[in-house]
Amino acid sequence: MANKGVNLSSVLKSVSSGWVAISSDYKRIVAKGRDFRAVNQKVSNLPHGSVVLMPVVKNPRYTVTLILE
Amino acid sequence: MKFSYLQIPGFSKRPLVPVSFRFGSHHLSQPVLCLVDSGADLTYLDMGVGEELGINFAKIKPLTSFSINGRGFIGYPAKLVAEIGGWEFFLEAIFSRSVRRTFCVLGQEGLFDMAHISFERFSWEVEINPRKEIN
Repeated sequence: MANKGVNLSSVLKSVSSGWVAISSDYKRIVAKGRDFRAVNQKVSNLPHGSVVLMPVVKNPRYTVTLILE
Repeated sequence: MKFSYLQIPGFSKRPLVPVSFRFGSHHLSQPVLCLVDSGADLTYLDMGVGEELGINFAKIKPLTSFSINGRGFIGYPAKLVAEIGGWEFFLEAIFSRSVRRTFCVLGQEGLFDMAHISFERFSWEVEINPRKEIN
């Protein structure tokens, strides 16, 4: 069966900003916070790799290509 | 190791991979999803990631980077270990407050020198493996 990637749209629909911790199977939000530190501290006692942390990015116009001076 | 592309609301599917970071004896308790970005010169991380790793930015000389629209922003370089798919890579990353509203990115310098990276967008997968000839 062809891989279609993982769609996080429904998982992330309830959050509009900040950082989230998502279960490693990408099916649910385990914690959310205003910034990285806030969410990281909420999941610090969970087994390593049981969640992944990511910012909630809502501006699709922004490109992340970066150039060092 | 292969990773599936992830679909984020408002974006096309992106090659985002979980990365565990370590700085000296400090390590993050959980991996961070980072964009594998062949258009970025370096690796760029949220300043908060660096603070949680215990990096003392007051002792680091800042430098200026530029986004694709020409806007400059300040960042602080530091060397750290990034573990991807069970493999460790020693990278220099730029930590910046300006990365806050976008993804952390894994750029060309460092990772792309040390790993075979295959963007298989046709099958929505990215494969990252260390170069055996240098590891």
